Amino acid sequence: MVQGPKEGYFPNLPKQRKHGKMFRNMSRNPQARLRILQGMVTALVRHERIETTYAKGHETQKYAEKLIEFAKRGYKDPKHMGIANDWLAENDLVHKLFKVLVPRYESRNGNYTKLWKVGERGMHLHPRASPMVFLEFVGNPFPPMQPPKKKNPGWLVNILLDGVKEEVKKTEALDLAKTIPWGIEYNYTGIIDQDVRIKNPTTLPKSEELRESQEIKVDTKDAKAKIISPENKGTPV
Amino acid sequence: MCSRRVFRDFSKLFTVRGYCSKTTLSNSEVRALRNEIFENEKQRQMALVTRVEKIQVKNVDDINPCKLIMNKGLSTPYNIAMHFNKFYRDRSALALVNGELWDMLRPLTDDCEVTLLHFKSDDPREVNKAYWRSCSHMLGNIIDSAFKNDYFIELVKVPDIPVTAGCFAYDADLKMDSWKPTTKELMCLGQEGFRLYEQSLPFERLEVDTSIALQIFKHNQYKKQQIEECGRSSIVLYRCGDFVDISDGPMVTNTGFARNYSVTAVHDIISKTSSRGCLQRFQGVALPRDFYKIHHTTWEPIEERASKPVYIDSEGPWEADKENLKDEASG
Repeated sequence: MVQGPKEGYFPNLPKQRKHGKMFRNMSRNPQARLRILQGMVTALVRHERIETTYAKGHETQKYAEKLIEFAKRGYKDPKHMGIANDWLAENDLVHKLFKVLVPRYESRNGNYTKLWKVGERGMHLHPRASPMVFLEFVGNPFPPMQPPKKKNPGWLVNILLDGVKEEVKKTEALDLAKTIPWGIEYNYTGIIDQDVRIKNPTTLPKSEELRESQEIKVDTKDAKAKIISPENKGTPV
Repeated sequence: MCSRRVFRDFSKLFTVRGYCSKTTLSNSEVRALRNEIFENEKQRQMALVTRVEKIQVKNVDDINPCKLIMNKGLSTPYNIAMHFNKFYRDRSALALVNGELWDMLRPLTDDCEVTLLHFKSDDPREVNKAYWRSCSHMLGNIIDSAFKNDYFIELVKVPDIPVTAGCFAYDADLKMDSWKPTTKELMCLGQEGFRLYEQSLPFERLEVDTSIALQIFKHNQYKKQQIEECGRSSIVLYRCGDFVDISDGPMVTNTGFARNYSVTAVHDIISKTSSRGCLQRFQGVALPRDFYKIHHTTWEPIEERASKPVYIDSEGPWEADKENLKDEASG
């Protein structure tokens, strides 16, 4: 029987998942569990995109990320080489790890993999079917999982909104917004809130609407200037 | 007492002269007359198609390319869309027939290749233009119907305003001095637009001789002038509900596209054609049904921008106060 990889090689794995359980035990003994994960990691490095259940995919994601983090330190250290040999069951993949994947992620700190949730398996057969997932390395040569988002500058909404944006840029509204001390004004200390309350009523728009039955009363002294015309008695509309 | 009565009568007479035109007809009566002539002419033209002939129509589209056999002079691009499904039928607003822009409700005349356009296609520029045109046609409809019968209103023209200006407009002669609408009145006008949306009235196209067009617009001096100046043998008319107007170029299928409709501003502009030297310009914005999920925080700045006066295709703003001050100073 083939011995699985040793868990002690990865010192900084997440400590606690939930309810005091560190890892999913996958209803097996620890060695069998690690053997499954080893197979998953090798498949991921081989194909760069695999389909599994959510539990397996989420578990392998941690180990795949750690593998690349160690591989980025260099292949000259025998300890790192040992980790790569342990976790990749097929020897030709060790070459791929150090020559292809490590140069790809040189400028990246973490988030080398991505998990896509894709519905549930056999939902029509069983009500509690396991949720399925796609696990992939970022920057793989396959076509993307989601279509790229279009900007659609020709749509009528976007034409109108672009016009609004240009008008705002011409004014000084954006520069003024930077000068407003947001942190102070929206504090929940009672002292400054009082000033805001006093300011607000002055900025509110005045209601100057006329109802149809309503008439304007004119003082006799000012009647010289204002004569009640048929317009004022009701709206023409 | 006697003198008071006399003054009252005088004032009444004065107001009648000031705010109504010389014709005794009201707006609604003129509208009914126009509609009647249009209806008669349309039925006359429909009666000319006596024999049903068949034509081959090719639908050039990515989704469902096919060949159809249709009736000459009767079936329209809308009937093509009806063959597929409801979604396809409702979203298509305009058609391209052999590379020429075509209304959805205009009958086909020959063998042709048709593509149907919609608001979310890759290049929706032509659809946007047609939408803007038809929205200003709706605005004309609203101005014509919203005012009380005491006020005789003459519509002038649709100014040529691009979509990038942020609003569509309609110029009208209200024959009232410096009428500025309140926010409530503007909202009422916008509600009329929503009523048209609910009815989803079709835009009917009709090509008529100039004599009939002159007969339709005999109560409107501006439209009459327009018809005489253009010097064509035939003129294209559009009808929406019972409102008839002159317009070139295609329009969208029906008023059901104008989901968010609001009339935003009314202001005065200079014009030499009118006797008083000024016209009123009505402005508005609308969005098609495809974008009705727009959030109010994005819709409000669009409305705000449309409420600023736009003087494209006019001779500038008309300031009543300045001229009045001049008159007072001189006399």
